[in-house]
Amino acid sequence: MDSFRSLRAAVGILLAASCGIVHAEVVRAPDSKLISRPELKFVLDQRQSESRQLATLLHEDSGGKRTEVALIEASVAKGRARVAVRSFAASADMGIATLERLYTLVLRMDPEAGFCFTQGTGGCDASLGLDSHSDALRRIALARENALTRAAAPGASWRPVSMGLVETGSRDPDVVSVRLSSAGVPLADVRIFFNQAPHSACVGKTDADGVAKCRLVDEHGDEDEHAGELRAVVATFPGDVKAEPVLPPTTYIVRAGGS
Amino acid sequence: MNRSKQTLAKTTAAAVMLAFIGNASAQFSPQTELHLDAATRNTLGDADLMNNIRYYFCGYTDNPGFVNIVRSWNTIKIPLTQIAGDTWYLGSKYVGQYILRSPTGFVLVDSLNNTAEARDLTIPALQSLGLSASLPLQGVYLTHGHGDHDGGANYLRQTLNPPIYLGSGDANNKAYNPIRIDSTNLAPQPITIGGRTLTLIPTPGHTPGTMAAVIPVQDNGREVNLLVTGGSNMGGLSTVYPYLDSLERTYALAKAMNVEGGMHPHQFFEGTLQKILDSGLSTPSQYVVGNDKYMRGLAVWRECTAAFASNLDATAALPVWRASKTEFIAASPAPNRLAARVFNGWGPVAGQQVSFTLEGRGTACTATTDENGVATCKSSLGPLKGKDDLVTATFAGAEGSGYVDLGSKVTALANNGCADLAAIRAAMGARAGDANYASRLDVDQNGVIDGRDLSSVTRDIQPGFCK
Repeated sequence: MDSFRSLRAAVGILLAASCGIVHAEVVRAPDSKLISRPELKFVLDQRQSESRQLATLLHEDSGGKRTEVALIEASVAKGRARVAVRSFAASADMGIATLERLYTLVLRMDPEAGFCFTQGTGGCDASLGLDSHSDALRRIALARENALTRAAAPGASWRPVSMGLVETGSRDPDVVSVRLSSAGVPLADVRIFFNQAPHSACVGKTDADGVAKCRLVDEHGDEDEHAGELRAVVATFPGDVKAEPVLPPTTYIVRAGGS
Repeated sequence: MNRSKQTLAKTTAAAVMLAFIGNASAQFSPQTELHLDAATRNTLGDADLMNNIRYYFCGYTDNPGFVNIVRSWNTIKIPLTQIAGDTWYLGSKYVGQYILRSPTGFVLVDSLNNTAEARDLTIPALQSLGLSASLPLQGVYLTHGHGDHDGGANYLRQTLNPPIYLGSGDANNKAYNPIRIDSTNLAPQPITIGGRTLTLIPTPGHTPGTMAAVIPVQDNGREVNLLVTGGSNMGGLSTVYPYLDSLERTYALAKAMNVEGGMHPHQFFEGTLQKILDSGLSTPSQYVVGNDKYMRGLAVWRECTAAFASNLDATAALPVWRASKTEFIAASPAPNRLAARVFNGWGPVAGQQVSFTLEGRGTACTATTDENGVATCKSSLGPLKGKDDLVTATFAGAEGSGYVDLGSKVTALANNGCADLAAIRAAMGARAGDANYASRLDVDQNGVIDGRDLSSVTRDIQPGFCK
């Protein structure tokens, strides 16, 4: 089953630091319906130590030769996960494929982390601040659109959606809502998944104004062990690959976590 | 709550959940439907898998209302209940712990919800099983750091002071000071507690530090590997993919270690405990379902997880896992004929290789399955010795576009076919679903054991050989 493994340690388990042992493995990069050229093979070289996790995305040609095309580095600073994403594919074609792979990988990462996405040789400048998960995804999507235009390459266009806060109209803190739009136009009849660690969730469908609302239900019900902790509420738009342009999935922090 | 009330509660819950399913269909993407359907097909009609693993794990997608019902089961206490020769369950209908006893002491899997339960349930149970200075609590393995699994750990630490093992991803800020098992090392990690070796495998997803474990238990005079799986719900986008990967690695481990059953702390996901509560512990234990069935259950769970991921992420492109079954067809393995059929919930598995090996002698022959999924060949090692040669037919598995055909195997002693011939005669007219229907006797797979099956098997046996 190893061939079906995808980037795992760096996607959501960012804070699982341990004994300083370095673990490394090479796995196939995960597939996605966002990938326009599935015949291009990519693998991930994953390395993990106590303080950071490094995933190198490599293109593998038909002869088995591997070329580094992107790097994802996750670390923890001041209690917050930070993810630096850098794409440095040489050709335009490879750039598009790399960005599609990166979108798939970053989508699966901790939505509460701070992100920094760069292209080319430049590194991240932390002093400029970090992006949210949704902003990082938007940057990658826009970079892909630009690469598509520059290369005059065929490929479905992507249009990132936006989610924003909207009053729930309820005093119940478990009632959550967001407004979903694309290019300023509300998107109706779309299911939005709300999730709160460790195990609360609900699903709301957007109305004509693009507003989805529901009440979080604790799916697990252990005995209030998390009382006093403020856990983030994350909204997920699952994407629409049949739409034209394609609406790629994204997340939104409805309520930030903290202690 | 007495047993009849429990049964009533479950029946009512089932009715409510069926209503949910009825309303929920057709709201999912084709990819999600594909995986939900695959989960159903992977049960191969097995009621246990359908009513428990398929029902609850896929319920996170197609019937989320079930969580409110099962949570209420936390108040339905289950007394200390023996589930194997050296193993007991204790807790509630919702969540519990397993107690393993060896000649040198005890090992616990999980610690119940809180201090009160550890004090009022765990300690008396251990005492009733012989807890003493010479038979101490030697260790506690926690599946993960949620309160319904580690809530009693601090009390156990304070009173009996056993080593407590927890995945490092969950271990921060735990008052009971656990021994950290490296959650970032995804390889199996054996630990020995009181002479019993548990094979731990980090399974991040439900929590960063969730760990599954293969645990040897004694049942019916032999050692059997059972698998403890940790978390159940799948969270959001950032957790469901690690969860899925963890499940796939768990599948590989369970196959490699010939796991024959499961011990989920939330026992209803497997539904085995209820059988013991209903009719007592059987020999072998109801928990020992065999590797074939257990692996199929994991494949169901994997497909439920893929459905959940696909629901949350419309761009997910996850292959469908198709659990196969390999069975010897009637009058095989026979001295001069090896024939096995491979099928799955989608039908016969055609065009795939099946190898036949003889224990201690090597590969007898290899054949490719025909359109009916049947592979037939003759042993290259000479005629088999009836009742001496143990034959294993193995389909190693295959990959196709968008799917993975999981491997399967079957083992049986060579025989002369006479018993199968007699069984066909006794089952004439039996239809699929009848108690006396057996797929392997239905040679032409037309769903009924009839004269054609009798003729087919008769042809394969030497004339006059069977009295």
